[in-house]
Amino acid sequence: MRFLLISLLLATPLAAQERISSDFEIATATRRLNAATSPLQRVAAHMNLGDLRASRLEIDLSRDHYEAAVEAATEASVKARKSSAFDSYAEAVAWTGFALAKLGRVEDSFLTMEEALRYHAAVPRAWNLYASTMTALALFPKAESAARRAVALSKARNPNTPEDLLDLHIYQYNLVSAILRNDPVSAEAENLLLELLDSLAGPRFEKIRRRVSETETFEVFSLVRADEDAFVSLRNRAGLRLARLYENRGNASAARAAYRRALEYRDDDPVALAGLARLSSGEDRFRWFAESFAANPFSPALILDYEEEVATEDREPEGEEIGSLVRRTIWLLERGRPRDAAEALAKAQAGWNSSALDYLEARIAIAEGRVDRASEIRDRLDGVPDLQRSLAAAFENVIGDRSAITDLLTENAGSVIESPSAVMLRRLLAALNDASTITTIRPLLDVVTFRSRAHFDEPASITQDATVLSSGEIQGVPFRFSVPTAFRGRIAMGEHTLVYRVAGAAGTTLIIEPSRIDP
Amino acid sequence: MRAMTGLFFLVFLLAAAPSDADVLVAMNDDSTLVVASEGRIRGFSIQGEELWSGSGPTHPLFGVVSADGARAAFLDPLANRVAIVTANGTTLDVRVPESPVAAMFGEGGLFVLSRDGAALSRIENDGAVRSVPTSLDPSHLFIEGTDVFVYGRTAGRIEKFDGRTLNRMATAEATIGGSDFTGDGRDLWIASPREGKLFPFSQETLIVRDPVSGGAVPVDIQVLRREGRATASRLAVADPSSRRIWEVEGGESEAAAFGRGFLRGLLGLGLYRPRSSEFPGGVDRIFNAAGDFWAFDSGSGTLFQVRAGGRSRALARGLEWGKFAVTDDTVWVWDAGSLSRRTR
Repeated sequence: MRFLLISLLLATPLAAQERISSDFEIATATRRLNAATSPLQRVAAHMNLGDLRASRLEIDLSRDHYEAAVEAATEASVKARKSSAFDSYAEAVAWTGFALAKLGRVEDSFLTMEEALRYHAAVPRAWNLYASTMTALALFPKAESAARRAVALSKARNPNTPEDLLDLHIYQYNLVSAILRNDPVSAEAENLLLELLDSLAGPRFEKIRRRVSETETFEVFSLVRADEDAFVSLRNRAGLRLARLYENRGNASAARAAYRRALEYRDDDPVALAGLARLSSGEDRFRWFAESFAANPFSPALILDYEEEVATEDREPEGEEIGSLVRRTIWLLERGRPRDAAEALAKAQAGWNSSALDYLEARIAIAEGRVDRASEIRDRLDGVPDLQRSLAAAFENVIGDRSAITDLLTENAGSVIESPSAVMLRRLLAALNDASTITTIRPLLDVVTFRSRAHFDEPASITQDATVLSSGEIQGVPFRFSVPTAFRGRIAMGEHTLVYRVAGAAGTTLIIEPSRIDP
Repeated sequence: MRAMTGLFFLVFLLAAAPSDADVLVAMNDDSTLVVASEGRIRGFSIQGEELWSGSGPTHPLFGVVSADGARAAFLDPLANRVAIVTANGTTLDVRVPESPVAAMFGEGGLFVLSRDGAALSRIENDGAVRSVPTSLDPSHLFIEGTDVFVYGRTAGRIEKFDGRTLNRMATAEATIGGSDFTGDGRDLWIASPREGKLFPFSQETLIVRDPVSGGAVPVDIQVLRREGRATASRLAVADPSSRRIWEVEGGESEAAAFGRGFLRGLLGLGLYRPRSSEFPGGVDRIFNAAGDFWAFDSGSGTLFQVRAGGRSRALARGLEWGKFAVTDDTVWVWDAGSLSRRTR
């Protein structure tokens, strides 16, 4: 049985009621899992499903598949060892090692791969798997070295048939992936990719190309068995790698052309769409972003790219499909409207379960000053280092914000702070929600007065002589009085100038002690 | 008493329970047990008392002990570090090229092979490291006096270095994908599980001799008796596929062969003997320790004591390779952060 591994790209496709790009692959891999008749076929299907779920940041589901892959591969290795089939044993052990790497079990994975190599050190696909394992463990120099061995061993066999050549190209592609991890603009990697893509377009692969066309094969997998799957996946990923390499070099036109070529074979490829978004400007950029989010709304790279660019997108993203909801959440957050962002996110969360949505929830919690909640979510994002890093940076900003708040309150002790901004009020909320800063902030707040335009909610009661008010919003930040307060005269609902002190916070709401309402 | 020497490789039974990066060796005439575990190295007496403790490699995966038992080394192929420790706990921690996977003490220090860095390094007693390039995928090391032999598994090459200067003295093409490599004083031997053969090379000239059958899947070799004046060497070969350890007689020197009136040494052939030890499972590790010959089945974690005449007895089960050591009367096991003993 022949399974070959093609490394994943940085951000690959993605899930459920409405279709997004990787739904096709998930459906195929699930069918293959249900039809599997051997442990190794189950391993392959689980690994593909694990990778596909991981690409949608469905971390728990992906871990379940990797764990199932470990179990199936172990079963295969025990069976093979009992029947003294040491070729099958070595192969199954290598798959165990690779699946363990996906679960982050570094030492176990390394030692398991060493065991496989005791028997298969002359087998190129064993080294290919080893290289992918090292990549999964983020041990990139080891990955490159192992990939070089796979290529050297494969070349030494003088590959001649299209099938053998395809194997060699897969090893070369994985070598390129490893090289680019160590040198993102490597000339060697570029040459290998050009040679590989040229070969795939050449006469040796005429028959495979025809079969691909006849069977309308288009799904991209990380683990392939049939030549058609291998061909399609390799052509897709090699093309995207080349595009990224050009992008890294700053050659935007070559990168755009390469991304567009990838879209010729698959028009909803999320990596190509995201690449084009990064490389475009003006309206075009946001059109590509929209398409990319439609293809994979949960790609960490895409979310981070969009966060960088969203300030320049004028129009609020519309639509109720998942890609639009994620974009709208980010757009609203950027504009300091966490409550509205939370509404958009809640709609997204009603239909989808992805760590990308958890990440956005954490961003909202930070913006609303609910630091503990954000911190709790951050701890759950273990398998998504990019998003964890981004949250860490946001936390650092909060810490910086707190020191700014302390300074501001100290400077204004005994006086009035006029019209505090929404940003400042949110920083104040964050500081009041954080056990580590509240003791510093509280005494300072006792000696500072604020004056703001406040939008009051409907009065609790209203008589000829007095109006009882209890809550409202200042600069979009909700507040309520520590106790409902009666003000002389009739005060209409709507905006008034409020003089107050801040007494504390209850979640996302400021608790205020009003002094008076100015005319 | 002798220390359990040689390279410790694999821990299997992985899926059953997550294993830590721990290695246990016996040193100092088997009077000190040393454990490297997650950033610490600890020494224990054979009464099980902790004698000393210090910092060590984060991911110690392999351990070796010097022939005199005075020093041990722990390799961390993930962080590319090697820690050398003496029986009283003095530790030297050095960085080496990418992926140290094999090491052996020799004249002038510890010799280390870095697989992904394709380098042979010598770590001297003061911690100075000198490295020279090797062929692709240097995976196995054997030292005889000042000769350092390196087998490059993917390149299919043996290289002979002068251990004093680290100059390359000779190279020879060899089979690729070998799983073990050792020397018997006359020849170097490569076990090739792919071909079911043992490939001998002259230690002196690196000239290849005729291969010898090594069973179905020969994966580990142990020298039982070195080449002598009037005797051929004897090798044991673990063949997990046929659940046997084969005994192979090495080629004899010309003089010895003439002396005993045999010609097979002249022909450079090893003698394949029908004698073998059978096991219930696939034994894939063999080693000498505490004056006895031992076999280990990684699949079941069973340790066998192999006795004269090929009889064997299972001494302990459920062990992990690298996490046990054999001394005179005890099998020591490092498990879940504590040391336990199984009386032989």
